[in-house]
Amino acid sequence: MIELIKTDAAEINIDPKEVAVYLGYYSVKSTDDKTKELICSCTKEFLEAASFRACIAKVPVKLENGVDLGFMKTESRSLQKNLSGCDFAYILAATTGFDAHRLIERKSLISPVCGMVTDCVGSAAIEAFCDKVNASLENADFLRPRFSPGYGDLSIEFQKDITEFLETKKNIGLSLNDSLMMTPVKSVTAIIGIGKEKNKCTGPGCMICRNDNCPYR
Amino acid sequence: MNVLDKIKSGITYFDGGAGTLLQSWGLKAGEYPENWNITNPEKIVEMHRLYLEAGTQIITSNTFGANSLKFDNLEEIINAAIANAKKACEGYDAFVALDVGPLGKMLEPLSDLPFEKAVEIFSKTIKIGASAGADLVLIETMNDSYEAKAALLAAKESCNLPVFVTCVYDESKKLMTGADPAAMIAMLEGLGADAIGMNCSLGPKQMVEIVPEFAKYASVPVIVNPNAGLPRNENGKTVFDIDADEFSDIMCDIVKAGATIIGGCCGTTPEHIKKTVEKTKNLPFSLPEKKNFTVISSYTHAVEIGKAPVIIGERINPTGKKRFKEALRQNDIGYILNEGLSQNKKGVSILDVNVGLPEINETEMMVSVIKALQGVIELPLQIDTVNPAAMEQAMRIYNGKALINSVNGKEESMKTVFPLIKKYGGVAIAVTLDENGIPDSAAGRVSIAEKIIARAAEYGIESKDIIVDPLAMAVSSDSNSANITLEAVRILHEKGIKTSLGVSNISFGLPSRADVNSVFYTMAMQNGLDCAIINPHSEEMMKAWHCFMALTGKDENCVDYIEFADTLSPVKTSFAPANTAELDSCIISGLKEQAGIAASELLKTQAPMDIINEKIIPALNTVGKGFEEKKVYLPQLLMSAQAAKEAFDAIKASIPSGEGKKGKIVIATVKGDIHDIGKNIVKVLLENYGFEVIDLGKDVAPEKIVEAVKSSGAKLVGLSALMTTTVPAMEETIKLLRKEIPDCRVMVGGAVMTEEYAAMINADSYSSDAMGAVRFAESLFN
Repeated sequence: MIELIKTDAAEINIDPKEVAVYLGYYSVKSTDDKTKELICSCTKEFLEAASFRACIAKVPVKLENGVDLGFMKTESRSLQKNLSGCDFAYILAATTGFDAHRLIERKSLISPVCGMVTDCVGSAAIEAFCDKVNASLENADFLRPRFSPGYGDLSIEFQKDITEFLETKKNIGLSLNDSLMMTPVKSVTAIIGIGKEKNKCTGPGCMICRNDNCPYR
Repeated sequence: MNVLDKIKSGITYFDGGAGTLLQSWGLKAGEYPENWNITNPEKIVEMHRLYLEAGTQIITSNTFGANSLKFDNLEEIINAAIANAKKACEGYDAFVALDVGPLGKMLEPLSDLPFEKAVEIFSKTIKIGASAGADLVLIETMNDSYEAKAALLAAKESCNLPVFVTCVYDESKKLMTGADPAAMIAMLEGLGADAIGMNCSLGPKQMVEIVPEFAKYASVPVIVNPNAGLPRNENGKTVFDIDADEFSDIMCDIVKAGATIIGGCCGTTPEHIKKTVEKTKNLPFSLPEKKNFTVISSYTHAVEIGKAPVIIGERINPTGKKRFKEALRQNDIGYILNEGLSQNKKGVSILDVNVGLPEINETEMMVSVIKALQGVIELPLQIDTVNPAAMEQAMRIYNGKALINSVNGKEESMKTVFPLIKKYGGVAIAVTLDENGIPDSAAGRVSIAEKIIARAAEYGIESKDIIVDPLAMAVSSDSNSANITLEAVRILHEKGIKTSLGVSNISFGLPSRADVNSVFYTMAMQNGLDCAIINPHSEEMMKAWHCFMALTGKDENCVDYIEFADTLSPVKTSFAPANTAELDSCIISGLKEQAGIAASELLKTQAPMDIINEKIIPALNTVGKGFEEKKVYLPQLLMSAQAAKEAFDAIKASIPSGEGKKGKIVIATVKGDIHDIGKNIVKVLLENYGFEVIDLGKDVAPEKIVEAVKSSGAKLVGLSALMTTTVPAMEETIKLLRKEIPDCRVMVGGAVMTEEYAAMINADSYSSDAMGAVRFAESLFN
C-alpha cells in the first residue's frame, strides 16, 4: 500500500540557519546582511514554486545475511546497523516538484548567486519536508534516522529499486536518469527503520557516511 | 462500424482497473502484469470478458508498461496481449485499444531521455500493436505533456489507427509537469488526437471539476476514466473509497458536464462499469461543438489570441544586434536565454525565436535554443524562420502548440508550411504577399489573406489557426503605407480574421522611431490588431499597450496599469564616486549597479586596462583571498564577482581588441550529470579574471568536449561531476582528451571529487572550490 502525501508550502518551515550551512557558513551569525536578505527572498520564491509531494510505504524488514526489504535485498552493513532491531521500515520518496526544479535553473541563468542560494534553499526545503513527513508518521518517536542510497556502503543503485517500488514517476513525478540522478532535482529517497524503543538511535543517517571531509556533518 | 463512428454515435464505455483484479488472482507485488499475457492468458481473457459483460465497448490490452526499456520480448508480449483481447471480444460488439502507458523516465531537459528517443521507443510498441490487429491506440496516464506529445507523434507516424490520449491531472487541475487542460487540448488536438481527456490520479468527484474545462475548449470527444476515489490502507490491503453505486452516480454528472467516452482506472471493477453503463446509457448524448478559439500553448498554459492584444517579444533575433550575433556564433545559449528571461519579466505573452545567421547551422541552433528556452521559460514560442528544415525540427521538439512565423501567399510557401502545421499542429502567421509582391491596397492584402485561408482549408487547417500579418511598411517611403495597413487590420478584424504586425517597420528611416511606433501601435490596436511583435524593453511601446488595455476596459480597475506606472523609470539619481578607490569598495561589497557606474566614471580619466589591472583585479584578489582564508563566504564572493562583471561590461567596449584576454578554457559538466551550479560559479570567476570561457553546459559527451577544445584551441579544460555515478564519465573524457589532444591540461572538481580521486583518473589538477580553479588557470597561463 503506497500512501500519497501532499503538503501545503505554507506548512513547510525553512530554517535560514540550515540554508546558511549549505552555503558554507559555519553559523547564521557569520552571514552578512545581504546574504541574509537573499536567503529570505529566495526562500519566499522557492516556496511559491514548490509543490511538496511524497509517497511512502511500510515494508517488513528481515535481517538475516544482510537486509531483505521484500522489494530489495542488500548486504550493506551500514543499513543493517541502521535497521538493527527493526521489524518494519517505511520506504519514502519525496520531492519539491518541477516548478521548483525550473526555478533553480532559471535563477542560475539570471544570477549565479541567486541560483546557488535557491539551490541551497531547495536542499533545506526537501529536508524540512521529509522531517514533516517523518513527524506525521505513526510511531514517529520510534523512527530511525532516514537512510538514503549512497549513504555508507549502501549503493546508490538502490535508488532504482525504491523509485520502481514506490512508482514514483506516476505518483509524485520523480524519476531517475541513467546516472541515477533524480528529477525534479530537490528530491529524496530513503529508508526509515521503525524501532521498538523510543528514540533509540543507532547512528544518524548521513553521519554513517565515510566522507569525513563533508562540510555538512 | 469503426471506433470513430462508434464514439460519434453515443456514449462509449471503456473498461476499468486491472491491477486489483489481477492481484486478487495471484499477481505478486512487483511482478509485471504484462508477462501474464504469456504465462496466464486465460486469466487475462477472463478479465476482459468480465468487463465486456459489464458493458465495456473498448477494452484496453494488457500492455500498459510494454515498451523496449522494460521488455526484451516486446513483440511476444504485445502480440499475446492483443490476441487475448481479441479472443475475449469474440461475440461482443467491441474494440481493442492498444494500451500505451508512460516510459518511467523523464524527458530532456528535465532529465536525460531525448525526445526523439522517446518517440522511437513508443513507435516500436505501437507498430507491433497495430500489426497485431489493435483497433485504436490509447495513450494514457501521461503526467508530462512532452511525453504525451512523443507518444502521440509516434502513433501518428507508426500507424493509421485512431489515437485517444488521456492525461493525469491533479487537484490543481494541472499535469505533474505543469500543463493545464487548455494547453493540453491545444497541443493534442493540433497533433491530431481523435479523443482526449483524463484518467487515474483523482477520483470522479475531483474530475467533475475538470470536465467543464474540456467542454469549453475541446472540439473532439472527451474521455474520463477516473480512479475509484482515493486509495487507503485496510488491514494491509489497498482499498478505494468509492463503491460502484457512488461511482456510477458521479459518472452521470461527468456525462452531463460533457464527457462522452467513459470508464474507470485504478480500483474500479466490472461492477463499477456495469452500474455506470446502466445509469448513463439513456442520458442525452451530444458531440462537442467545434470551437473557434485561436490558441497556442506552452508546457504550462495556453494563450488565446483575440480576447485582448497580445505582445510577442522580438528580442531573440540577431537582426541588427552585434552582441546577439556573437552569441549565436559562440553557441552562447546562456545569453540567448537571458534575452528570453528579461522579456518574460517585462510581461510579454509569447517569445519570437529567430536564430538565422548565414554562417551557422540554423536547424541545429533552433533546436538547441528551443530546448533550452522550454527548460526554463513557461511562455509559448513563435518559431520564426524561412528555413523549412529548421521549422520542422523546431515544431517537432516544441513542447506545446507553437505560433509559426510565417507562411505567405506564394504557392511554394504554402506547400512547404501547411503540411507541417497539419502534422505537428500550430498557428501560422500568414503574411499578405504572393508571387506578385505586396499589394498597395488594403483590399489587395485582404484578398491574399483570404486566398491563404482557403488554401489552408484544403490541407485540413482551420481558419482559426491562421493569423494574418497585413505588413507594416515604412511610412517614410510611402506616406499612405500606415493607412493601408491599418485599413487592412480593420477589414480583417471585421471579418473575424485574427491579425498580427511587426510594428516597428513603420518607422524605418525616421528619427525618434519609438514615438512613431507607439502611436502606430495604438492606432492598430484601435483597429482591432490581435498581436504585435514588439520590443518589450521600449518604454513607449509598453506604455501604449498598458494605456490601451486600461482605456478599453481590458484591465479591470486599471490594476495592471497602476502596477506598470510604478515601474516607470524615475529620474536617475547619479552616483558619482568621489574618488577611484570606490570602485574597489563597490566590488568588495558586492554592489553591482554602483560598480558599473563607478567604472564608467573612471573611464573618463583612466585607460580601461589600467582600471582592470589596478582596480578590478586587486579588488577581486582581496575578496578571493578572504574566501581562501574562510573570512569571506561563497555568496559574498559571487556578489563581488557579479559587481566586477558589471564593471567589466561598463568598460568592455573601450578595451582594444586582443587586450585583456588571458587564454581560453573549455568547461563542462560531464556526460550523465545534470547539475551545474558549481560549474557555473567557476565560469563566473574565471571570466572575472580575464579568461575566455567556452561553457558547454551540462550532460556533455566526451566527444563534444574534445571537439570544442580542438576547434577553440583551448589549453585548459575544466570538468565537473557531482556524483560517484558520473565520475566514470569524467575519467572517460580525460582519457579521450589525453589521446586526442595530449598537451591539453585538465582540472576537475565537484562534490564527490577528492585530490586522490582526481589523481586516479589522471587529471592535472583538483580544486575544492572556484578560487582554486582560478589559481590553477592563472599558474598555467602565466
